[in-house]
Amino acid sequence: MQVFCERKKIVGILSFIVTGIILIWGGVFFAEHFYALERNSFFAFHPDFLSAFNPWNPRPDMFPGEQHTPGLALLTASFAFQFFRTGYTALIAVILTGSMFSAVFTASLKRIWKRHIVLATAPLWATAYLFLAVSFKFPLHLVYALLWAGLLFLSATRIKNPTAGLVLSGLAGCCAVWLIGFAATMVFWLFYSVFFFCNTRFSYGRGILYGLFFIGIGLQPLAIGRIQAVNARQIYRSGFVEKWRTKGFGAQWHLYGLVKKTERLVMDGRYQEALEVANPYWFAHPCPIDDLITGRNTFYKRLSAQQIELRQWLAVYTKLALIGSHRINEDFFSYYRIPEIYDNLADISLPYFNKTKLIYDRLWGNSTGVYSQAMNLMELSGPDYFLLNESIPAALVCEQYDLAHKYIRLLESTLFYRKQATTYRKAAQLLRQPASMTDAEPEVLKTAAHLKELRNLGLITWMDKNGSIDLEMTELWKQNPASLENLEYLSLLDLLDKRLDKVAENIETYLALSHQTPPYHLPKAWQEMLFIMMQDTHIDIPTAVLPVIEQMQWDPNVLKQCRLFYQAREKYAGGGMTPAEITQRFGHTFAYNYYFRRFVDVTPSSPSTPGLAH
Amino acid sequence: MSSSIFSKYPLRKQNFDFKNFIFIISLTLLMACRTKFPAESENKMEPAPIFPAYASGISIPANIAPLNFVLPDSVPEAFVEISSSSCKQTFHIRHSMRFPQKTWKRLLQKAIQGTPDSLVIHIAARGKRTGFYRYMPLVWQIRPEKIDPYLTYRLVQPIDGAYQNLRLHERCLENFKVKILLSNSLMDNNCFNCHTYHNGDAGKMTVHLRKPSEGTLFFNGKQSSKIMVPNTLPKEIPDSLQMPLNLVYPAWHPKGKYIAFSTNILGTGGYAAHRRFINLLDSASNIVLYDTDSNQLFLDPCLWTHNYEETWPAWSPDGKWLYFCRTEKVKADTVIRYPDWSERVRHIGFDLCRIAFDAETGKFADTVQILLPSEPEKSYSVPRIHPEGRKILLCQALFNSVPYQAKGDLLLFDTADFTVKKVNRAETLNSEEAESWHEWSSNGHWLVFSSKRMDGHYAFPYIAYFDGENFSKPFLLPQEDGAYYQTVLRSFNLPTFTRNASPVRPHKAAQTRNQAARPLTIKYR
Repeated sequence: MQVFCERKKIVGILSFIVTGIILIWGGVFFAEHFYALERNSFFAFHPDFLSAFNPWNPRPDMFPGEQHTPGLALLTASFAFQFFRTGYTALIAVILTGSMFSAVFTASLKRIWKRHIVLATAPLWATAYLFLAVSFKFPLHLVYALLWAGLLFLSATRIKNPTAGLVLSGLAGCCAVWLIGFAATMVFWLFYSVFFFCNTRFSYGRGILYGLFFIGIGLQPLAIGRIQAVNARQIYRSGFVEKWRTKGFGAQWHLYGLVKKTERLVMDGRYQEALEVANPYWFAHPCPIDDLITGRNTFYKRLSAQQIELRQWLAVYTKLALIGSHRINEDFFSYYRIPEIYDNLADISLPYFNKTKLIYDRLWGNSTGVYSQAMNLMELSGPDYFLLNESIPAALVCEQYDLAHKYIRLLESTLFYRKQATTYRKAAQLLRQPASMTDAEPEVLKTAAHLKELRNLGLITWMDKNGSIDLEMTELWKQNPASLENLEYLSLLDLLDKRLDKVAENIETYLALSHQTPPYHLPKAWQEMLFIMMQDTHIDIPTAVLPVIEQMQWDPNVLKQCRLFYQAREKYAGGGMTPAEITQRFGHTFAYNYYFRRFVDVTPSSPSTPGLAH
Repeated sequence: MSSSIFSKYPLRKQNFDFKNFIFIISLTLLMACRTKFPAESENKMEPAPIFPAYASGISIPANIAPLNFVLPDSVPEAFVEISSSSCKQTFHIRHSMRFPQKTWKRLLQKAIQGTPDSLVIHIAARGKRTGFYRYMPLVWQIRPEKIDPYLTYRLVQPIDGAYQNLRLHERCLENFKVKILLSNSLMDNNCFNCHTYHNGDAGKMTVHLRKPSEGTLFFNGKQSSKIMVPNTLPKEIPDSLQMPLNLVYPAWHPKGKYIAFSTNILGTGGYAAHRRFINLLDSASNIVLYDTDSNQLFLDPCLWTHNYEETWPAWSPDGKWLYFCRTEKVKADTVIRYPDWSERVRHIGFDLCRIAFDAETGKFADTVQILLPSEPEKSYSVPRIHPEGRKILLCQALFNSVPYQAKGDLLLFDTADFTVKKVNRAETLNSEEAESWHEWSSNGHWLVFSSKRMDGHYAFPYIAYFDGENFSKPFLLPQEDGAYYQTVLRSFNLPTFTRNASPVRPHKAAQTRNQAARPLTIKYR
């Protein structure tokens, strides 16, 4: 009998340890399934949660939470949050219900022990936490970590003075969660095990009930987005994952995580970060990603179709990140990609239509396109707050204020989109009646300015996407002569085609649109162009450009690079340098493009250096 | 708090305290009964900010479900007093007003018995930091003429090509019960369109399925069948008339033997401009006549033409006329002038026409009568004939045959004098946004139509009373949750009245699509 009880106890403890490990593992490598990390949060809310569970008469027109990508996380969160829609009555109902369940848990025990009191009041704590979250935008992570760490620590260690235990262990748990992040979650699960080990009245059935209860609520600290982000970084830096991910299935899983992470960052508009995530892979596996996307892949021909597809996804998102980040790093290397990618739009959008098209349209300022893709995606995969959030700017850009307010209203009922939705509401008011908000917050002003910019950038009439990129860029520029971006795109094409005179013509307009006064600042590629104009005697410098050159604020790196390039060119003419060396050192510059035409020449047989991996 | 406190009070089984229980319940009931309209309140000379904005002056049928509404979230407390000649009730609400079904029926009792009545609604709402404001009373006219008790509609995404979750719903207008009739998740996720009933009888329905399981489904009571047009037309049809054949927009002949179908090939495309997220173009369309008894399809020379596009068939109630819309085929020079179809479509206008029909022989007359010729920025579509047969309600848009544009309006056309009166009697129904997909009730006193007036994007069903000459103000189809339309992300497409509940079930319909299609013979005459 004793052996049997011991076995039950061991099984119970093991079940918690295993559950903890699974959740932690899932949190790190499959965060997309467990947590709504792309929303940087665990929670999202929909008002008709229960109707989604009605099998007789489901309402597909409302928000079916179970269709969200992260599934489990949102389902649990939605369940918790639905009670906070109707205010205090529901709050009381939750407290009473929670307490009742807790009483049932503990009713079979003849005496109330302190840990059971703690357990009994756990729903109350959770409720209070949620209430604070919804109502007062409390510093939730901190409070929550404090509460849970304290309560569990107290339960597990059976400290004699519960108040002291609460304070000390709470602080300890809080520090643990915030400082060591991921490790704290492991400790968290160990506490459970210890608690059940210490509980002499443990039974298998009750253990399962406790387990379910804790999994339901206890997932939260594990799932808090920021902590996860910190954790993930720490894990990757620790080298533990590095070993695991380089071999066998581990590599495959890691790649999958990489794809999802890149996708998430790109979807969030964090292009530079997305590049940072994706780049190490391409540096380690130099491969022309265009070939992968277009299906002309030879580099990975030995792999299975599924494995290639995974790499295709990564390639697509890397490309989108490249396009998106061009404004950030102002690097010609990224600039160069834009028309190339534009030409390959059909190739990108064919296999991965909606999501990539959405990002692409967002990058090009085609708000209506973004809206259309968001709606199509929601049709395919169910309503989604992230996509609704994407749709608001589109509605505002198109001056459909009533429509925008509908989406804003929906998002304001969520926890983690509320702030942004409120900003959009104020920005909409500002756009509609500029005089109405004289003391608008900086964030609102910024959003309103961005929306105005989108209005300038957006197309006025429908354009035939089958036209050449030159025609389309010219049309864009014609329709929106006040858009700096359009001018940049158009000039970029001229740069690539070595039409320096045309770019020079546009410099004056560029300076006017960017409201510049001397000393002037131009994009790096344009600076390179002016440098080449001055150096190369074959080129006539337009007189209108001369004052600009005189009052230019040159980027010292550009100047240095150009000088080095000319030296290298002379070396190359004398046979002192090979084409590969030139490409390696100057492939990302305009000067290289001007003199050598193509600056990326990566073939499967001669993979390029990391710097040119794209 | 020390650990000894816990150990002092063991959990014991206690007897149930009945007295306390009764006290609490009584107290709760007393609290709940505090529904006296606030005496001290400031008057506001404006209607209450309710959603949906059911305005004063709307007419509602005696058998309609309660017109529930919500007040803004900023209202923490409100009183709603509703009265008719048969009943009066006051409600104390937070911000959502849901009338109990029984109370609602009592309020409408007199009208149900056949006497016109009116509902007067007084609303007093309190602000978060203010006292009560008493708004102007709302007066809703209750009409004894009953509305058809069921409404069938598709819920669609108002975006081109989005039909992953397409369902045909049947809503009972006397309460809030909704039933799914068709669901494309059971049918290869294909698109289906234009559910049409025979004289409002839900037992006889036709619906067109698109690829991959294309075909037209017929439901007659519990029987269902499928027809599919052949890929090629018979060789006796001249080459110039060899055109694509699909069965798209149907119209049942009143006697039920014939169905007129238009054969559209529709192209969709998005617009980047304001308010135009979608547009449709008929690239080829004619009208054919299907004989349900002999399973034959007749191509008539007046309606199967190579120089015109005919669409939107609709029968007169006596079955002697077929009304439809028609335009000349786009000429080559127009194509050259406007190579982009999205620009070209702006120069296409449809006329309202009719052609005589002999139901005995099943033949059309030789001439087509143009009732309402199109003009620049006036194109007509979707004619719906009033059950009395004299008046036609149709859409007038800037261009094209599909009234999706923001300027789509409803127009009442009187066939008695063959002109549109200077005053458009349907003007009451129109707004700045598109109105379309209208349908008369079987008694001709009620009209349902879709309008995008709420936000310019999602179309919702509005109901209006028609007294034979004029329309009253329309009201939004009531929902159980007053805030329903604030959260719904679907358009109500093609709302259609039926007099009875449909026997169609989604799984049955899904099985029908896999049935072998009945052989269809085509005759050109």
